[in-house]
Amino acid sequence: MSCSDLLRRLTEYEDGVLSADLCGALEEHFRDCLRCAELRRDLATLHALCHQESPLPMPVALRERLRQALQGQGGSG
Amino acid sequence: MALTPDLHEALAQVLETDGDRLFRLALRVTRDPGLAEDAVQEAFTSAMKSASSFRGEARLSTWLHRIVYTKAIDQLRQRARETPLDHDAAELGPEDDRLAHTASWSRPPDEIVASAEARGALEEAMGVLTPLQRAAFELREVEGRTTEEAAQMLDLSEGAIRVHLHRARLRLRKALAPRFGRPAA
Repeated sequence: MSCSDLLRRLTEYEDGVLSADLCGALEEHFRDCLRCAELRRDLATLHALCHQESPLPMPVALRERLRQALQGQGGSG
Repeated sequence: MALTPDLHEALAQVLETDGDRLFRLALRVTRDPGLAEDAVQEAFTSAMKSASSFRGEARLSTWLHRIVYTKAIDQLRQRARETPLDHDAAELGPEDDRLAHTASWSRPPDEIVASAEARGALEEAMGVLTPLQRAAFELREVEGRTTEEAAQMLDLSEGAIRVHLHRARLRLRKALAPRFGRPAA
């Protein structure tokens, strides 16, 4: 498997939709290719970094406006 | 037209359970809290008006995500903040290969993940992505949605979601490489 082939298959690999043979070929390529191994490591770091963010809630005033709008619409059907 | 009690209750439930996620999707796409609020407000207004068109093929929260995304794009278009239409090729090509072969991050992963400065840098780097790439990234990478769910929410094929996600991650990696390189001794 070439680097280019690996890149085209990477998200399918992560989604678990590739055959066992293709998964094996990808894993072998990661073992043999430093550049692709570094890419995989950086993408894993990016993923971990995303989960360090504090989840931002919906503003309270917006939620309240939406609740009131729904109350104004509800219950008459 | 008033909502049926069932649909009213279901929309109110989605507001409570998915409200934060809907707001974050709008914020990720628009990168502006005011525009994100407008997008979510308009999305719920639109959902209440067109509730009769909801036929239940998708989950209500999936339908709301799709409307929020559309309204967020409309906000960008109205404000001419960005050209919201993505002209990205639908398939990966040589340009994506070149993007993948840019400099790697040399700082240790644990050090990057633990750094508050890195989180700020990531937020800043989101600006290099298109609105659609940001939406795909938010749903798959941040929210942890499956490719199938993200495809339904953005009304795209699963293959298109994979392409936009892949491209988003490569662009972010490249944009962050100068920040996540090993500091000079």
